Amino acid sequence: MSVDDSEAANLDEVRQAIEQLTTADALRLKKFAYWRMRSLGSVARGRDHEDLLAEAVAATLDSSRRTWRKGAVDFVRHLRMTMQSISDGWRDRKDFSQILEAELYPADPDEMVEDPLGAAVPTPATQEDELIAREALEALDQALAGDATAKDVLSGMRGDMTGPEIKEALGISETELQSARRKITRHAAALQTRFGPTAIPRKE
Amino acid sequence: MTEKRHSYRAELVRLMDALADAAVEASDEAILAEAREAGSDPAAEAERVRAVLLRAVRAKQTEPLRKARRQYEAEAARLKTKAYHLPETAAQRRQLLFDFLAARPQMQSMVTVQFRELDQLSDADIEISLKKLAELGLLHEGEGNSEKK
Repeated sequence: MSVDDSEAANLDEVRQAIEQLTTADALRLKKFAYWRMRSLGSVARGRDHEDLLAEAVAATLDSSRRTWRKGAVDFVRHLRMTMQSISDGWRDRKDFSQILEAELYPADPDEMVEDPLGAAVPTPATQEDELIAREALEALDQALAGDATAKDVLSGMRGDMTGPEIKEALGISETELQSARRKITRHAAALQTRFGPTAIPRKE
Repeated sequence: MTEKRHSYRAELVRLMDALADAAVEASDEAILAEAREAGSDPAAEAERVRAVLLRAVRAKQTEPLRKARRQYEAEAARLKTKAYHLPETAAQRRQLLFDFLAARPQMQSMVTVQFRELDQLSDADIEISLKKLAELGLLHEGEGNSEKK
C-alpha cells in the first residue's frame, strides 16, 4: 500500500497529538517502552524507556522513516508500532553479533558443531545471560506460588500466546486475565532490581 | 542434526514483550490503578511522558539551527588552523599590509576601524588583518594566498 504524503502528520499535528494524550494513554506508552527496553537486557547500553519514546518521535518526524499517517491509525498505536520496530532493530543488531561471536569463539571446543549458524553455540556472554534469565523466571514462578491462574497466564506469556489465546486456552474472563497480568507485572517489576540489565551508566 | 538448546533468555524476552503488549491492552482503570499501587501520581507521571515526547519534537524543530551552528563553529575552527602563505618575519608582514593598503587607500578604514591607526597596529593585529584579507581573496598571487593545512 503506497503512502499518501498528504496524510502524513506534520510537526504541529504531532505536537498537538502529544499534548492531547490522556493520562492513561501516556502511561500505556511509558510502560510499553519500559518493558521493551528491559527485554533488550545489556543491549540497551544505558538507554532507557525515555530514549525509546524520544527516538519514536524523532522517527515520526523524519520523512524518510516512520511518518504518522493520521488517517489510518491513531497516534498511540502509531507510537507503539514505531517503538516496537525500533527496539526490534536494536535487539537484532545484538543477536547478529552474538551469532558471529559464537561462530568464531566457542566456549568449549568439545561443543563445537559442524554448522555453527544452525545451532546456538554458547559463549561466555550468552551463558551468563542464560543463567540470569533462568533465575529470574524461577523467582517469578515462586512469587506467584498459590495463584494457579496467574501461573497459567504466565506460562502462556512465556510461550508467546496472545491475550485472546490465553483466555480461550484457560477458559478465563478478560477481567481475570487483566488481574493476572497486573499481578505478574507487579512481581516482574519488583524483580528487575535483581535481574535487570547489567548496570551501565546512563548516557549523558 | 544438532538440537537447538532451550533458551531461558529467549523465554524471558518473550515474557517482557508480552508485558509490554499487556500494558497497551490494559483498560484505563487498570493502568491508573497500577500506577497508584506503585505509589506514583498518574497525572504527574503522564505529564513527564508528554514532556519527554515534546522535548523530542523541539529537538527536531531546532535541528536546522543546531546544524547551522555546528557548521559555523567548524568553519571558525578551520579558519583558526588554516595555513596562510604570509611573509616569514613580522617586519615583512607589516610591509606587505602597508603596501597593500597604499595601493588601495579605500580599504584602510576597513582595517584600522577594528584596531588602531596603522602605525599602532601590533604584529598580531597585522597578521590577523592579512589572514582576513587572504580569506576574502583580496591578497593576490604571491601576496600571501591561503591554503588548507
